[in-house]
Amino acid sequence: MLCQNCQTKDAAVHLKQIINGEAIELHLCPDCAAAMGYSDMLGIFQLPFGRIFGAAAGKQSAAPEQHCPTCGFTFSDISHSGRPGCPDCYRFFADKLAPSIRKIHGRAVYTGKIPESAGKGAQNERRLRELKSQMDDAVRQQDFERAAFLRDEIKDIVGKETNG
Amino acid sequence: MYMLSFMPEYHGDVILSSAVRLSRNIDKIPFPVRLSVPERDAINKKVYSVLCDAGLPVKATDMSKLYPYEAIALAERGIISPEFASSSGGRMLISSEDGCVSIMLNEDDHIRITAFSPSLQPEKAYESAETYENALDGKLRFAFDPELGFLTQNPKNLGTGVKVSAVLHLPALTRNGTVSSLISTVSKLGMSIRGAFGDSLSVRGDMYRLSNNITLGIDEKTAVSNLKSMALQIATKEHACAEELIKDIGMRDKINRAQGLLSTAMLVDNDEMPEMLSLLRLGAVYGLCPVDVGTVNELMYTLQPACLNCVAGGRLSTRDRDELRAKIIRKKLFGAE
Repeated sequence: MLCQNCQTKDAAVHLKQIINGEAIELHLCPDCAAAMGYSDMLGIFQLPFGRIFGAAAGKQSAAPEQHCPTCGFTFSDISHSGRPGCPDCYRFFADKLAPSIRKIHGRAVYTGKIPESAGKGAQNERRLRELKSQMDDAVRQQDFERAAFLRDEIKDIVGKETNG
Repeated sequence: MYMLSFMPEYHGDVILSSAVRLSRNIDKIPFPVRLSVPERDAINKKVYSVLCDAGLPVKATDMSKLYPYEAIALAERGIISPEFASSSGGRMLISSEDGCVSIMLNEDDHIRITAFSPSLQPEKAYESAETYENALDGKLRFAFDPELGFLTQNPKNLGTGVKVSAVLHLPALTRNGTVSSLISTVSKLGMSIRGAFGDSLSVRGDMYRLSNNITLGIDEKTAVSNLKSMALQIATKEHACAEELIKDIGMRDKINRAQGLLSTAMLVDNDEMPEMLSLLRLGAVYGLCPVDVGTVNELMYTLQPACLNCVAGGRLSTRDRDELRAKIIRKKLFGAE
């Protein structure tokens, strides 16, 4: 098996981490494992983000880099510093940052408090996500009556959002 | 320091204090490290005025107005982070009147609210922190994403941005070697346990800080109750082991010697202090030493070097600090003039 990071050497370090309730498997060569800070198992929660982002940046093409419209950071800047320049970087570079964020948090979904300042849209988005998940469960269990009820509730919320 | 009062009913025999820290940022503004001092000052002014307008009794400290040892003393007392003390430009500390809430402005994130409570009461600390968070929410637009939660400079804190912690005194589990296995056990459950003082990698006075690592996938109240439950299990184990430990005459001898040394010593150095106070605290909790546990808790923090410089009102030599440390111990714990 090849190292997941460099894709050139054989993977010799096999790690299984449970982060946010989700198991993540990593297969790395000794060099990449050491570079990513996995040589010390007790320091497993001190992931070197710079190097993780850096590893992703190494795979970027030579096309002109995009700049975050709020702070002007490029993805290379984030990779170099290990930190985004502003909150908007998370939105602007969402696709590129997603693999690194998954390495830290797994596929966990946010379930915490929604601030008032995020507006009603964020509340609705959470409610819709919950309802869709419940509807999928109902369909799997062939409880079509409940699935229909949930579908109507989803329609209701989406309708209200559309009509402002 | 109210946050270190001894409350046996909340497992105060083992747990000194609980804390909850909320990391928040203002949307559309670069993180502090990318801001100039005037830009940071504008955030400081805005946050302070919102809290004042909300009627919360707070006082503001411009970190650039403090002597370095005063800033370090705040870090030694656990009120601010060592990083916050290390650089002062455009940084402000806002504290509640009772000292149970401190807000670091322009540390890693724009706003870091930390609330403290004595012994094992993290839910109380969360409630206090949330009061300040709610006062700011609405007046300031927090950087938030429905899938990632609160957006923080460090991706490790994404999600709730909540760090729950408790400071535990574990003399018995340290001596029987259980602490090393605890470190791996708690890490599997998404928590960590480290030294409570200094660089957190070395342990002084058998004091540890238990804190959560998970911020995405569980809500704030679950994070608080998970930490509380883990702290409670550790406290129960420590209590059982400590009851056995103090039956040993060798241990009782060490406790009595520590009491004798601290009540008479003219010089107490910074390495000896936590070790001796740890033994004294163990003895006090189990009625072997007639000293107040809350005072011992407080001295664990306030006898550190920068705190002593603050008492003296200027930088002291190591020798003078050792003398002052010994004098304060004799006075506060043993009533000597």
